[in-house]
Amino acid sequence: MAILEVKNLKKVYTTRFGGNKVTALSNVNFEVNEGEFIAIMGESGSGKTTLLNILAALDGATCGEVVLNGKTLKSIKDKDLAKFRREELGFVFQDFNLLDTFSIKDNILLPLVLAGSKTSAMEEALAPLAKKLGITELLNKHPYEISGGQKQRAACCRAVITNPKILLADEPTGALDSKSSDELLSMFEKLNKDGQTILMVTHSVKAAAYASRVLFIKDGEVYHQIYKGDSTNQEFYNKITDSLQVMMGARV
Amino acid sequence: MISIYFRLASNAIKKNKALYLPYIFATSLLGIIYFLLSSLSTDTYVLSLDGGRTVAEVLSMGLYVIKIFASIFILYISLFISRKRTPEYGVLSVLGMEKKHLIGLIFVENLILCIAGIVISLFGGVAFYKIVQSLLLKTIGEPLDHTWRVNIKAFMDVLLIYLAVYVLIFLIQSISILRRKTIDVIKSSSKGEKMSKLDYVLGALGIIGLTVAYFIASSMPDDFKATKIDRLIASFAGDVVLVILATFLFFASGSALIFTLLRGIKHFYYKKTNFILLSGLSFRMRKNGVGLASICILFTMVIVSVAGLASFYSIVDSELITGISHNLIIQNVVHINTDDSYKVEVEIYASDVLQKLEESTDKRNVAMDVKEIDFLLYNSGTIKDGKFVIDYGQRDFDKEVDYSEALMLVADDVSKFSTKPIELKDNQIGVIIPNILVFEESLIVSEFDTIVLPDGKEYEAVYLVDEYSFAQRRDVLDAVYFVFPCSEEEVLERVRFDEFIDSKVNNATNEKVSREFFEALFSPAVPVYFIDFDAGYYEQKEIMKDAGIWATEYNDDTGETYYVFPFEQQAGDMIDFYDIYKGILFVAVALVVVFLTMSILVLYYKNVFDAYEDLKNFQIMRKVGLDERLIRKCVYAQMLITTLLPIVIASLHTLFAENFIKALISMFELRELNQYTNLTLVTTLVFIAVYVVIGIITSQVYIKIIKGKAY
Ligand SMILES: Nc1ncnc2c1ncn2[C@@H]1O[C@H](COP(=O)(O)OP(=O)(O)O)[C@@H](O)[C@H]1O
Ligand SMILES: [Mg+2]
Repeated sequence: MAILEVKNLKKVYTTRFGGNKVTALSNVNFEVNEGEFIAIMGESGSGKTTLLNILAALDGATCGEVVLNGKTLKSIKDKDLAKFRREELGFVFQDFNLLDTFSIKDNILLPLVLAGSKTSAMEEALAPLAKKLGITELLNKHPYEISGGQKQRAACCRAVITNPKILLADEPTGALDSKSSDELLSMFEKLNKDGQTILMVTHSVKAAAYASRVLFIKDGEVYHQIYKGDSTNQEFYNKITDSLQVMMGARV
Repeated sequence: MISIYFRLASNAIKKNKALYLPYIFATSLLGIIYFLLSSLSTDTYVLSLDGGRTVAEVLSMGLYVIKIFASIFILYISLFISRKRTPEYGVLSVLGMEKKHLIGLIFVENLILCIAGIVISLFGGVAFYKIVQSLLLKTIGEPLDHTWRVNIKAFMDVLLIYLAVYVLIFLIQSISILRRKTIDVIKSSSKGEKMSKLDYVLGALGIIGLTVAYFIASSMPDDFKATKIDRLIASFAGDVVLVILATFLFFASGSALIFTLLRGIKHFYYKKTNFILLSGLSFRMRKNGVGLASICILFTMVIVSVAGLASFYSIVDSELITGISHNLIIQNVVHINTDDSYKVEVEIYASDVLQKLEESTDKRNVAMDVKEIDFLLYNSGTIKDGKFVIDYGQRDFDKEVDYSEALMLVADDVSKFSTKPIELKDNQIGVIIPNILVFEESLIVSEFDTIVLPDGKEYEAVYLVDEYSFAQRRDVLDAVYFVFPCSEEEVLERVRFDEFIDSKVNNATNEKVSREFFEALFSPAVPVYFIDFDAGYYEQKEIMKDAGIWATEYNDDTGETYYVFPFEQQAGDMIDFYDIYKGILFVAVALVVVFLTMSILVLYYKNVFDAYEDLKNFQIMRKVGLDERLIRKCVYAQMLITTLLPIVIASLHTLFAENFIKALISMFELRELNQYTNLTLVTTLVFIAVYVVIGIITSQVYIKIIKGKAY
């Protein structure tokens, strides 16, 4: 069953004084089924972040449609947007986006607090999740006291604590060393096994190899996609590299 | 090489013009104010004005205070800005600048700022000085002075302050660069969000300190008379120091401690508004603590001193300043030759002076009120068993007895000074006890109900309790007044004055000493005139000059100038008082401007930096699902609380300072002090209004930054 449908999505940025127009996305079409772990690959500037921002309703599309869990994003009223974002979506960003003013625990609880959950419910949700993601010891620390990998795990914990329909991740390993990247990606894998739908944007082949399907974006369109199927991460890695080579070649 | 530094430095200043323009403006304003006051304090026109010398003296003393505050302020703001710019230096060092290069860059930056400040201060100062001088000349009707002179002393002063402050700034900045590791330089700003143990302790100390200080202030005794002034001043000074320290601790750690404790209450904390607000607030307060505490203290000082000055001015009356109850008191100036002749000569006849005063006031169309009273004689007596026995001082000095001087008056004279008619029976004597004796407790006012006169009769003492202005002079003998309901001759008869003089003459060892001499010595009935003019003190001075009784100046051996007044008059002291007051007012206005400039700048910087940090946080929260209404709500609430906290605490300080200030004022004045409360209220409200305006203006920066980008 498709949990997310993207149809004919187009995004044109107009600079403030009208002048230049940048077409970030020209015609994007794809679907995400429940339980999938999708990686979107593309060069820098190919519109990956733009796409995620539109999916998250942080930015509006120029035309086209996004249907999440049966609801068209455009139909959601402005005042309900925040609530929608909170309940249906989880985010992980390249630069963690943890708040310095909060402890790790409070950072993670933030979406629940915003949702008005009961204190007891918050504790109940936090404890097992923190254990699963291996950050129980970090809960009372502040962001500046822990490493990048630890921060990203905390951010991830914050993203899934509300049980979102879909977890959106924008270059989650972009600021991490390779060991921390591996740890984070296995965590994504684990979450996905437990049923979490994940949409991850990356330009790292290694990261993409953890996914069950990879979409390639080029010139504002979904250019190609490949499925992992039964292949191992290593085999999938090779497949992705091949596809990328084809893509590069096509460009020349 | 040098030119590279200059390019880098001027680029850095240009790039940070949001920081440096207000900074240069504010520091120059301080320079201008200083230059202006310093020039005025040595201005020849000011000095030539009536009382100008006094005003100038007060001004030059006030300059020290301004100098200190302005220097601290420039230092504080510069260091604040350079701390904010640390990441920039970090980037430069990563790009390959060594520490010595960075120090060179900082040197050139400071040089540019310092020169800019000096140049603007001087041009602005000269211009403002010219304006003030022209206004001055216009008001006194002198022709305008068209020359443009730079007051060298003021110039040097401004130059030296700037140089000294900037050398200090440069040293501190260099040392902090030298002590850092390069890596450290880059990520300096995000540390310190968590309360350390020390923070908890300091915060608790701040809260306790404020509580104790408030407690001390509010438990000041109401009975001010009983408090000794030195003890009062000592405990006031101690309390002020305590309040200042505690305020700093409270703002930097105490408030954050309170917010942290509130965060400990789970059900309260994990509500969305409280959650965002509390964490934001404790963070903000810790970042801005020192700046906000300074504002709080500055405003407290401004409010308390303005209210204090105003109420002192309004409470203080001529009698308090001069110790004299009427504009002018004259009586014959008698010279008793004690050398060989023992002749009694009248040097100035009061009646002649009165004549001249009348001529002058007629000419000037000024109403003059003259009350004449005859002081019959000084006498003394002992008080024992409720009886006051007039005995011409014939008491036994070996025995301890209550003893007092007494002055004899007749009821007809006294009633001129009374609002109620004086009704005394023949066997009664009215008794007036001057306030000064009661307050100073110098007279042992043992209760007495009977007066025994030398005629052997006993009279009933009737205490008269009106405000008898003639009795409120502070320089007369410590004496009580006896009021007789009969003629002057009768009084002298009753106290057997002739017999007393006879005995003096008979017992005189020198036969040259005449009866007249003794009569003069023990006071014959001399008229004393209590005069009030319907005119200001400056005009009174002219009137007295007309009558030839204004002060004569003379120099003593040390070259000090003294003024000698042949009669008791208020105008001299009052004019002095007003001149000093004018000087203080000048300084006070300048200080208020300085303080306000400081507060505006501190709030401005707070809002700029807070805005950029908050912006980042709110953008994150938005992505996580914080709706815009809540963002807006939290932004305003947070800004409102951090901005208003200083004035709220300042008002609290003022409230608790009231007891102390009242006690201090009461040292000078013995009457009602309600004035202070009212004036404080008015002053506080005025400054709250001023502060709110400043807050609104400076918060626009914040709102503009957040609004453009966060939602
Ligand atoms: N707010 C914006 N205004 C104008 N152009 C933008 C904006 N955001 C992104 N772009 C442009 O859109 C294109 C896609 O950007 P982005 O989605 O960030 O790419 P990616 O995340 O794949 O690197 C780029 O050419 C970028 O310059
Ligand atoms: Mg991107």
